Amino acid sequence: MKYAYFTGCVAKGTCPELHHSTVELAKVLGIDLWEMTDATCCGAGVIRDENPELQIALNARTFAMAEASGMDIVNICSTCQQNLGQDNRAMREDPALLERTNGVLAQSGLHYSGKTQVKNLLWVLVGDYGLDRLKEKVVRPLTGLRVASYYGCQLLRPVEDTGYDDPDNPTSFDKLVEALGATPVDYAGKTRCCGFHILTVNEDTSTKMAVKRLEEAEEAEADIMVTPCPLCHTSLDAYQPRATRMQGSSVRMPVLHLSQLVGLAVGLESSDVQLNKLMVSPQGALSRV
Amino acid sequence: MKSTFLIQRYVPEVDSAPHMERYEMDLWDEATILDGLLAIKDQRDDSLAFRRACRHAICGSCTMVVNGYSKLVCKTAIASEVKRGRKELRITPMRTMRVVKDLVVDMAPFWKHFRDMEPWLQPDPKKVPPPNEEYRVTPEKLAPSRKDLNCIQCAVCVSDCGVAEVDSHFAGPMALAKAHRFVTDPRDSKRKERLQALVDLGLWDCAHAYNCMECPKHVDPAMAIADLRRISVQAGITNNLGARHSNVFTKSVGRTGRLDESMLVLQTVGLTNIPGQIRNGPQGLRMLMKGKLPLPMVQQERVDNPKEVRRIYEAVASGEER
Repeated sequence: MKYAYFTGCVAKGTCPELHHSTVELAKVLGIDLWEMTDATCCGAGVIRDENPELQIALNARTFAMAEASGMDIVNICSTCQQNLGQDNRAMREDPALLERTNGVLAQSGLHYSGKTQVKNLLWVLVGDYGLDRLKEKVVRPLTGLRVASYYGCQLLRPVEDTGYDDPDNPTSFDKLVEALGATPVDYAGKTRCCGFHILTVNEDTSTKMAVKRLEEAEEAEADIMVTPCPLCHTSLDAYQPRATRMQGSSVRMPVLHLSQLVGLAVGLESSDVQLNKLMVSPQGALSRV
Repeated sequence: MKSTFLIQRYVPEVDSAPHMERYEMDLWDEATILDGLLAIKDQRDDSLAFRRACRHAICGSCTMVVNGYSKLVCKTAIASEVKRGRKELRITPMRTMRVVKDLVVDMAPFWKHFRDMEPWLQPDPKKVPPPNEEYRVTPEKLAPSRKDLNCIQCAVCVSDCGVAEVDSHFAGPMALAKAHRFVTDPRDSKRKERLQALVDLGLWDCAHAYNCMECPKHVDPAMAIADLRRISVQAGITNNLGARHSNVFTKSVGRTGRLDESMLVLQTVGLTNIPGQIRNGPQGLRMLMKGKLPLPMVQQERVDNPKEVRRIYEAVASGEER
């Protein structure tokens, strides 16, 4: 299995542990990752706010490079999944837009025909790698650990652009958690927004959203939350002490990256997945496993 | 078809808290959730309160939360919920609004946000034709607001919006889509004033969760909001956090191909905004200590060929000029 690995900006910036643990996990699972070091930011919907065609041109450049390599794209961020997916569909559905965009790419010697698939690591693990195969790799089953799978919002919607699970009743993440030997917990906020995208613009509202998600997981008696997105992770973990203080909440909830949780189950050590970089230590919760 | 309804019941004047009531129903295969509610009211408990009128997804009255997601229940077949693996139909009132009784909520805040948008055409009096003539506009010129015009004010989008859930000041997706409808109408003369007002009404508070894209009438408020932001920036309304955030973000990616997150926060807050920077200081320090804060500019990731990225920026810009 080979993928064009799209790290996104945050896994190379404020969440280095995500990139690191993803690379380590891929080695154990035998997944070849070709890191797209020349791929730009996905635009995060923010460049789209300024100039939709600019964001599409940047992402078309990324798709063209993946297409030339013959590999599909794996990403490790829900915002990357959403924006790459949405722009990919826009070009597939609008041949004139694709042609216009190829006009922009031509000077770089690139061309995109519309074939590249974009998959978050979660969909690669559940869909391509397969849960049966993953189960065989589990050497440290996470028995007894109550895990709140946090799908978040952008991984699932709009369904036309992602299309890997039902946004109104997703089950893939919970099935993966089960395959690792852990117990998935159902809770109200699993597909609701973490507030990240307005953290800089409206911190009060953003942190209220994050705290609500953490409290919902706590109410369902989860030991930890797990997220496939470093932006959710930033809101829920890196900002957790500040957010709970701002909003007067006593919640304390460790939040792991998807690659960290799977990595631990398939035998990686906590140093391999850099648990020390988490703001809220998961050691207490994990010691019960 | 046998179905289990779990319905939230609550009379604020009598009950100390809401509770869930269970109803086992046997309905025909094509029954909608509204059919089920009407059968319960008819056969089991006529005190059950909910809003409904047309039964054809035109009036927008019967929005409720079904298994965690807002729907027009007249347009939602019970079978569709069964198909997605639901064993029960858990029905609760819309979020973001106060419960009046059972599934009926007080929509006053929703209508206030609607009115704040001055949802009527405000043409230039000098251009308005005499009373016996129409103020005509071609379908092409109304194309940008075509989707907005489908809105029936059902509030599905508002009830599912994560921002509206915690921030009653936020105008919400419905009202912003309505604003888009008038901002893009070539007959309206208050475009700039409307855009200016939107900054305070929450134009930049949308968190891109895209829940509102699943509109029963296909309005797509999320894209209306994105378009309003673009129009707002183009109109020069840039002295606010949201526009600055978007501008700094786009420029940062244009320089290196990747986002400089540290610089994004510093510049959005404003380099000369000392109180703002001090307020963010502790968080920055906390992340720095964890090795989660690359130094702005210095440790910034860049793509292999930043020149190519800059060329694309220029090519798109020059294409637009043409």
